[in-house]
Amino acid sequence: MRIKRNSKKRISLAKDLSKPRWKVCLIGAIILVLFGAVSVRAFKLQVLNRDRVFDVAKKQHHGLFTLLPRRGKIFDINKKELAINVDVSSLFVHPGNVKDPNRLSKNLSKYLPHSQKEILGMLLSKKPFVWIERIAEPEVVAKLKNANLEEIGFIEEPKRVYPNGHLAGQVLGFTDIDSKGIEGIEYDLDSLLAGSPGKIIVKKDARGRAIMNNPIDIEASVSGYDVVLTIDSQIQYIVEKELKKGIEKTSAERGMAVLTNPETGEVLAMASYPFFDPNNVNKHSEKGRRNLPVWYSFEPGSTIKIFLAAAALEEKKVKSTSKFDCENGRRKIGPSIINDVHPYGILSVTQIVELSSNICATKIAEILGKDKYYDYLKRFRFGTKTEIDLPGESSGRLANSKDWGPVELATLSFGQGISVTAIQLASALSVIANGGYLMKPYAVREIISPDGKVVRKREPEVISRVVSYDTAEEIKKILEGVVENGTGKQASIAGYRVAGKTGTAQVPNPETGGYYSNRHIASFIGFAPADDPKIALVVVIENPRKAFYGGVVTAPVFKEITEKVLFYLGVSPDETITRAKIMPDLRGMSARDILRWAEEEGIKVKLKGSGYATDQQPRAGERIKEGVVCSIELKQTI
Amino acid sequence: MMFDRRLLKNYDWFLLTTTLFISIIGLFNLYSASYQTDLIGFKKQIAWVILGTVCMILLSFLDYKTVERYTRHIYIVSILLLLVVLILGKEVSGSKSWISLGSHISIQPSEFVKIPLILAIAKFYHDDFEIGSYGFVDLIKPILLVSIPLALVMLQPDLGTAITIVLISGTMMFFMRIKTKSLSFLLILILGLSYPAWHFFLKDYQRERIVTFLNPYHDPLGAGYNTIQSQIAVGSGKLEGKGFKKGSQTQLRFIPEQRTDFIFSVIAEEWGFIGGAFTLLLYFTIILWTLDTASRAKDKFSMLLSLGVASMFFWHTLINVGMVIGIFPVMGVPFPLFSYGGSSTITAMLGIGLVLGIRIRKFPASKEAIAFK
Repeated sequence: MRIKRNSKKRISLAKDLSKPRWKVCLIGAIILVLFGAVSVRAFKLQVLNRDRVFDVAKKQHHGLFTLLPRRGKIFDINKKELAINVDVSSLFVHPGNVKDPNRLSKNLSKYLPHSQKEILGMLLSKKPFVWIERIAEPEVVAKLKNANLEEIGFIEEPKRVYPNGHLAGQVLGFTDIDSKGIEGIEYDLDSLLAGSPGKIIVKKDARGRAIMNNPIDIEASVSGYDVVLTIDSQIQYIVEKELKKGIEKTSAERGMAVLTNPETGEVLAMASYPFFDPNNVNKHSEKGRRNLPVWYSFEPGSTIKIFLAAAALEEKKVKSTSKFDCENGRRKIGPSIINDVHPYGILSVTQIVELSSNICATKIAEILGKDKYYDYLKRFRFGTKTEIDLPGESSGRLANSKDWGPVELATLSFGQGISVTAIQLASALSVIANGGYLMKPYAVREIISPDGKVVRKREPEVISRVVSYDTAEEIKKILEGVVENGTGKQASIAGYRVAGKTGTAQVPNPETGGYYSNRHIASFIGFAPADDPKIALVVVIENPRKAFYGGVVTAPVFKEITEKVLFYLGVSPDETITRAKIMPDLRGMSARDILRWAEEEGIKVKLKGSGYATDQQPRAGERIKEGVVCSIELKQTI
Repeated sequence: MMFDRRLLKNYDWFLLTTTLFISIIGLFNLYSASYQTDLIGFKKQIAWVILGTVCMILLSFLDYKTVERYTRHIYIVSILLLLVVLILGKEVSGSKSWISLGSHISIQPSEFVKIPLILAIAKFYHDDFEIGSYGFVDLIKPILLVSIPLALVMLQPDLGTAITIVLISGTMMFFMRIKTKSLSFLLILILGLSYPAWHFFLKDYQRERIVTFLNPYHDPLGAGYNTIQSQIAVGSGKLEGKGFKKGSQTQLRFIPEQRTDFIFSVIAEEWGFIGGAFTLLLYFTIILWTLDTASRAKDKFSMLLSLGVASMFFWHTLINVGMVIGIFPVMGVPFPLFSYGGSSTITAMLGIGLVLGIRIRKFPASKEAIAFK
């Protein structure tokens, strides 16, 4: 292999081994530099940019699917379950692992409410993991498990269930299929109830197929916190039942009721009719899901007179005995004419409230002055949210007194031109009931962590003192008079002192700016027992058809609820009243029977005429005051 | 052949153990890359490593002077093999690079050809007694020696091997004194030839590889896929790696060719920067050690031979790792001793065997030798 060349420069010298050390060094240096470059690059990739690249890698290796956590339960005040979870199976497949999608989809379509085509579409998906059916019907799951279809996987997921159906439905709200709270408590406390979701991690290979061995890695979910409400489901049941009865009796459109503990502000019951069953969300319109007592504002009507009277008494502008002229049911203020339902002459403040005279209310308001009246309405928290811990509260509407003319002041004195929510009424009423304190209403009593610890406990919160104890007591007496002698007689309960006020408001017509002639909102607000109030109750019924006065439509509902709730709460009847007898209906009884009854009861009677009783004084149901002689008219009948 | 006991006494245990150590790490790594699918390749690789080790040790005891004597024959046989592969070879993804020996074994002559080429160049230099710089005419023979296998490899075509052939022989020729004029002429010639090469020799997929190298994200699911995926693997390994058999990029088979050309991505993902750098350090050690052998060589042949082996290791390692971490375009260059494949494993081990043979004979020439001289 030698090349023989006779070059002058190149002299053959076999033994001379030129060792170009510098070249070796140069090569070494080049190697060093290039290796250095490689290392720098690797360092950059692996150390400097690691997180970005790592995320990219993670994303392409893991199909991530969330697993619903166990949502916290919702309890009533006695730890009865209002919202719970039931384990329901969800079905999934790894489409990449399905060998014969046609056969499987045919099989599945037999059991599931999907067409074969639809299922085939899911099975042919490129994703590594596909839900075939979330929250499947238990029967379907049982059948599928029997059918032993290998490729189908089951995962237990909790489904929200409300065991009491519509009970407090609008308060509780509901969740969507992913257990996300949409309305009510479920919405408001979603972050606490929700817990943190678990993960199904599906490793997928370069072709997007799930890896066969150990395809699923389930990261357990963390349960949510339990919530204890102030709602007493027993009371809620009574309220809903009686409210429904009252609404059906009067063929009304809708209604609502709030029952609170006036001492604390706890909401013991809160009902909206038509009821809402959160188990069947789709059967109800969106409006039907609203929690009316918090959301719906309306013109209160005469119930506002309680707060007018309280303000006037507190400001010492009037006494309960102060006399006003009711001008026989007709008063002209500016261009407007104010009417009373019944014409009255001179009435005391007590009587004005008892008989609910609008004309005299305007006079009290005029004496009080618009700024003071406005100030007190504000202090009772009208026109402002009560900040109850329920979502969707409205503030109602209360115009500033600067914008009130004489007519506005007049109409405001009997509850027109202002709109309030039921919860505002309940909380203002509680001021009278508890001796002058405005309490912040609340519906959530405790939050309990998954390990059973109470992590948050709500204590009653005084917002302010609105009126003095004396004023509150005085108003209480007046309100007792309303039930005893006035428009609220139908709210009276044998054996208990009840205080309350009726309200009948027309519904404003937004088109004409006036009021509908045939639409009313009847209400009754009150508390019992009057001397030591355990409950304050607001009942509102909208658009009753058969009658429309609060005293007729809502007072009986109030009575039924209050009577049953007091019994349930174990509030014993007032002995001083029990001794006072209630007049039975004696009509049709013979003189001999009447005398025997009178002797047994120790009541004095005076009979006029002979035969059978046709008329009586006092009337049936009224209390027989001590020392009163009952006069009964008898007539001979054929 | 007489067995000289000094051979054992002077044996270069360091180079031997380092090489074997790399091979064993390589086997572990290959196991991780393949246990999810099949272990056939892994078992074959064990056989190749054992066979390669035996060849390496045998070769190290053979006097390189004997090798030198047979260089011409070795060279001609290897050229013949390259011709055979063009005629009988099976085509795999567009290249005829493999001669199939039964259903389980196939050899890649273009890998083996590197050793005969190194030998031939070394011998050319060794046999050239003249002194002074090489002119262009003097270079015709070595260029021919390189061009024949290069052309045959290009015909397969196997771009990666062709480039390594050019780089290895270029490095070796760098050691010969070449006139500046000739050198510049050569460079101009190479550049001039690269244009027609781009158009006529490179296949579409090879052009595409170079284009995507310049911008892999141009086509992330197509041509740029390998580069991106291997970079993701390397990058997600972070400093400490994900652990043996835990590299998700590897185990989920995101990287095609992860057992062969992209094997480095496996170690970089599962053992992180630390593991990758350690592996590179081992190769670096071998290369420097071999370079050291070159600088201490007693004669031109052994000097250039060690240099050739060093440059073979160097270029393979650099190009392969550079390709995996995205600083070089994707070309089929195996990672010696790591990548799955008998031909490249045995070639690498034969190279080390030659160096070992030189190294154990580096001791001062025996008295007889001195007397002879």
